[in-house]
Amino acid sequence: MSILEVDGLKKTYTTRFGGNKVEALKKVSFSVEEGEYVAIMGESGSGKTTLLNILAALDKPTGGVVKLDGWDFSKIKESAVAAFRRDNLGVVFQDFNLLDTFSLEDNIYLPLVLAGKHHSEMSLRLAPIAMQLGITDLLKKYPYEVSGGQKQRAAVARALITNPRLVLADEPTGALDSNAMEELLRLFGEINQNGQTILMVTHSVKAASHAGRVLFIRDGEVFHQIYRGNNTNEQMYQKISDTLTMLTTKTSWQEGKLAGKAEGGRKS
Amino acid sequence: MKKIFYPRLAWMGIWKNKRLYIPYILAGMGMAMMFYIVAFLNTSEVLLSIPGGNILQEMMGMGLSVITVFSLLFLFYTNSFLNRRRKKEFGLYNILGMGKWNLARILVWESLISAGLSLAGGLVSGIVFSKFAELGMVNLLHGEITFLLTIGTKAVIETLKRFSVIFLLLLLCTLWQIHKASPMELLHSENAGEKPPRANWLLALAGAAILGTAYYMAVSIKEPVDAMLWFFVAVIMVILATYLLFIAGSVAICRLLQKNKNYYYKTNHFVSVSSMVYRMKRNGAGLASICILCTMVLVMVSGTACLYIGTEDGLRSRYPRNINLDISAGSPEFLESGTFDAVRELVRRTIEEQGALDAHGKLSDEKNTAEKGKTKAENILDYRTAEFAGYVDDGKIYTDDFGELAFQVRSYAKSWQIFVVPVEDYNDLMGADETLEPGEALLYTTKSEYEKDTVTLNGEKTLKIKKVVPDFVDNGVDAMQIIPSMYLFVPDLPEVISPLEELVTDRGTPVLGLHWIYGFDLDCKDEVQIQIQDQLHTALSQMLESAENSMGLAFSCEGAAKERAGFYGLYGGLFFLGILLGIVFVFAAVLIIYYKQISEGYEDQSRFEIMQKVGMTQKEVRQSINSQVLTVFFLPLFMAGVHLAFAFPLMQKMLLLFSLTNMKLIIGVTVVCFLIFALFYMLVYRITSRGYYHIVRSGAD
Repeated sequence: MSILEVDGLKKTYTTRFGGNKVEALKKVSFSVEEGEYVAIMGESGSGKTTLLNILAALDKPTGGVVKLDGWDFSKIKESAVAAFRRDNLGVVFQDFNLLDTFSLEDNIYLPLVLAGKHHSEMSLRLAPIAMQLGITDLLKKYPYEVSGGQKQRAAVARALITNPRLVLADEPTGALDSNAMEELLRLFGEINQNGQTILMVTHSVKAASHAGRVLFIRDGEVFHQIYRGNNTNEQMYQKISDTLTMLTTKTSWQEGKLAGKAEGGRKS
Repeated sequence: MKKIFYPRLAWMGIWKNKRLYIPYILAGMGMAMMFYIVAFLNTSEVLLSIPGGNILQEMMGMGLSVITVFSLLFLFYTNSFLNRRRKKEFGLYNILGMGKWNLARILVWESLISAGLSLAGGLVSGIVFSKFAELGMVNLLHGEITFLLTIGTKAVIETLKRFSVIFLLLLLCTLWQIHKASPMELLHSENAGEKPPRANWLLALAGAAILGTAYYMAVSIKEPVDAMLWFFVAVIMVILATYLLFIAGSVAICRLLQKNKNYYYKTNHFVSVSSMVYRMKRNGAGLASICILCTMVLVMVSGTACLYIGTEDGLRSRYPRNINLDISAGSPEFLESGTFDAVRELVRRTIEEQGALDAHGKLSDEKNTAEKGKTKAENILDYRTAEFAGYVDDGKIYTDDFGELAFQVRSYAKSWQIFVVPVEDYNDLMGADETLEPGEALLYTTKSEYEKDTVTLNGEKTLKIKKVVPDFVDNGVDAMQIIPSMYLFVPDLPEVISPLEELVTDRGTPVLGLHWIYGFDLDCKDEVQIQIQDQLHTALSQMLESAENSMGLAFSCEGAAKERAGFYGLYGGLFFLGILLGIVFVFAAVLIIYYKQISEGYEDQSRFEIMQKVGMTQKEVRQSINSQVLTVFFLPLFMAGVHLAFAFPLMQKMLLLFSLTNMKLIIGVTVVCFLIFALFYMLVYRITSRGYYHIVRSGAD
């Protein structure tokens, strides 16, 4: 069963003085199955951040439908959006978005506190997650005292602690060095193995190569996707690179689009 | 082109930071305006021509130095806010290739512009408002009002001089900071990674202990003289404690709340408490300053308002009757002499003659002639007394070693003015019917209490106190002094005072003074009363000179009417100064509040953005902001209220020294002052919080 359905999603920005309209998303349609690990790739300006903001209910689409577990986002009342996000979505940001006035522990507790959970339940929930992410010893520290990778792991813990239906990650490795990136991607794989559905937006081939499926966005449209099948991470990396090379070669762009659709169609 | 480059950059810098610069310039204007007004009043001819005006002008002179010092401190404070926020901009200029020298040039222009605007605005508004101030003051002094607008050239020059120096100092301070800093420091000065504040329990507890002690002192002090002495100690302790409590105590309390997990991990408390820790660390000093300024305004305004409103009370205590005669002599036989009857007759005749005269001393019209003889002495005060100052200890009154002790601060609290009055005079005045055996006395005290039931005069004569009486007539000497007075009513005055007769102080004057007090009220206008007083004065001096003045008689003749203007000058001046300084302090408090709100707005902006992303609803964010802002904002007012409540007993005792005994008046005035102030404070809150929300929201959208 599809956990997330996106159909004909459209987002148009109007420039400040009216007149010019910029189409960030033209017509995006895809779906994510329960337990899947999907990466969305695209270059800067391809509309992937806009897409993620809409999926995280931080922004509203101009047209089209987003459904999570069959719940249409546009039907949720404005006042309930934050609560909906808190209960169903876990978001990991590129720049961590940890509050510097809280210790890591309190940062992780924040969504639970907002949900009105009791403190004893919070610590019960945190223990296994902190163990898995290897931050048990860091919980009492403050964001300014730990490294970027550690911050991001805390942010992941914050995203996971509400047991969300879907974890959204916006360029989660963007601010990390390569070691921290490896570690984080390994953790994402592990979390996914445990059954957590993950949707990650990235322009890093490396990050995308860990996913089970990669969607390519260009000029506001999904025009290609690759399934892992039985490929290893390295083979996946190669495949993605090849696809990107092919896509960025001007002459092959039409063919590529056609080929991608054909491939995608065959596999699903 | 090159010439206007720097002025242009400077102007742009000011314009782009107008949210910060406008209040700064307004602060400068306000200070310059207040300074000009006070300087103007200090030199105003109109004021000088009004009775009491000269006293008032002296007070304005004191006010001038207070305002100068305060302006300097306060403008430094606001300027530091500006500098902190602008360093980033300067860092950028620096990296883009501007040298420190170029930056300095921009800064010089900026200072010129802001100082110029402040001074120009301040002087213009000062000149406009100085007329209102003058009118207000003339009104306080009950003088004639004129509506001529004048410009005090001297005051203008003085304002320009002092504020130029202040602005120059500010510029030098800024230049020095820029000079010291490296470009990278400048760029990042705004958001250096901040450690979570640690609770400094030692300082917090010290603050609580000091405040507790100060409060205890304020409540437990009984003697007005002690109140006077300890008031300043208490003030300093309270200031210190307020800073300690706001800076360390608040953090400690937040930390304590964080430790209580069941309290802390609640939606309403979680974000508020954790941000409060940082907020208090950054703003503790500012909030404490606001609190102290508020308390100062409240104590000052309510104290001086009490004095002013109670001027008539004070006048009445100092001059118990409209006209007060005091005839004194060195030898006791005077008390039994016939002088009194002669004086009484003289007074009667003088009133009869003068009572019907108009203000020019003529028997003007029929009406006055018809009223001749109607003006009578009423409410007559007529008693004999022997008075001396003494050092009272353990039921004994010492007079001989008093001279040495007089200059020791401690002995002040044990010094008393002693009046020995024949009990028959007491009976006559109070309509009582007391009889005493020799060696017995009735006791009445002012300002303090005497607890022993015997009293020994100079180690020789011991009087048994039969009872303490609740009241006696007011006495000008008592009203003038800060030491308490003790009245002993005795059946045999000459006998009681005999051991003191020969004593002299170390300055050679007799310890004992023998007085006959004769005072009376008149139901005629002040001018007529003054005439009567003058006439009496002349007649008395003639009479005493012509009489065989073997007893060394001296006299004084005082009238309330003649002194009224001086009293209004003094108390009105204090009140007016209280209001003016109150305005200055309130102005400062408002600005500190405003800057605090603005700078917090910038700091909170990103924080609340994150919270919304993580799943806080708009409503929750707003609630959290509200509770924090309200706490931060009203904590100083609340503390100021508590300070005022505890300062009240001290204030009340000190007002007692100014002969103000009307407790209801003091409480009423203080409460009204607090309410007006609270109302004003809320108004300021409404206005400044709008700026804050604007900033926070502009980030969130």
